[in-house]
Amino acid sequence: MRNPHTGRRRLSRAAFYIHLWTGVLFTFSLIAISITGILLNHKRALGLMPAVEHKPSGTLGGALTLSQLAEIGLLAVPNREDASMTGDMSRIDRMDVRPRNGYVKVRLRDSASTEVTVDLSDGRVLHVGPRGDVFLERLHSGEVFGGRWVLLSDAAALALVITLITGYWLWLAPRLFSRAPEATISEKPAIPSRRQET
Amino acid sequence: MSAGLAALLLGLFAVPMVLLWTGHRLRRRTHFYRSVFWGALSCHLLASSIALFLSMFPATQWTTTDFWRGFGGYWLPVLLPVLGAAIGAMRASSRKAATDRSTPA
Repeated sequence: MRNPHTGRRRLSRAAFYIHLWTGVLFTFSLIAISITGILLNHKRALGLMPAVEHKPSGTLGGALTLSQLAEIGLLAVPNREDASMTGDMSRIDRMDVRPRNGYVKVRLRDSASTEVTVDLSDGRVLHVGPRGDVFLERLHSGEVFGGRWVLLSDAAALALVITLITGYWLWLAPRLFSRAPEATISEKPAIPSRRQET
Repeated sequence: MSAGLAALLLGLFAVPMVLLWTGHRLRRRTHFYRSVFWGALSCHLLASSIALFLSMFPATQWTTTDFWRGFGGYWLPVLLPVLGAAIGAMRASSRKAATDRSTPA
């Protein structure tokens, strides 16, 4: 007949090793994800994202066209490598229209993710500056290394869940089964002692 | 996959895996072995901390021209543990030589 204590002991031992290996292997990925997460939560306060205070200077109906606004945004940041490419629309990553604030954010696909804030009605350039949080976002998700590298942050998240569950089990199991009879000398302990393992 | 990215993965996963594996039953190992292990481990911790800092400050895209940032972020977690292990080996060897000299024949 199968001894239930042996099964629990094996489970605790497996939990210990899984906890140890996933914990060590994903430590730095999880630290990076945690730090970038904290920085992203406070991106405005840290100045990673420009905060432009602006009130609409006209109605949305009277706003300039998207192509005009895009052109204004592009001209505000000349292409240093090739001046003829300054007006090239492929330089734009996205345009974020904010009717409530009366401006559009034109984000460029350069190394610093430069963003130009342009007034929707009169086309005034309100702000030009890098978006520090874009890189942090991509580092947070793993996308900074390529599209498929989001799997790296998935793996780290999964490792965190596994580490939490195994850690919880390692804490809970001795309390749950404290009434279980002591193991015989020949049996391996559920969790290896420090002296045995190091 | 670029060489830098491969180095990053090695530094992120392979080096800790090797360290964890070699750290098993450390107390039973020789002084030389332990010295190499601690040298590699401390340098990996140092390199990973540097890489972590460099990856976030300043927060702009890594570029191919950005040598030091790329070197620190991608290559240091692989190269520094090797250097640490070498330093640990040299320290252990020099200590052994000093002990041999001081011990009367």
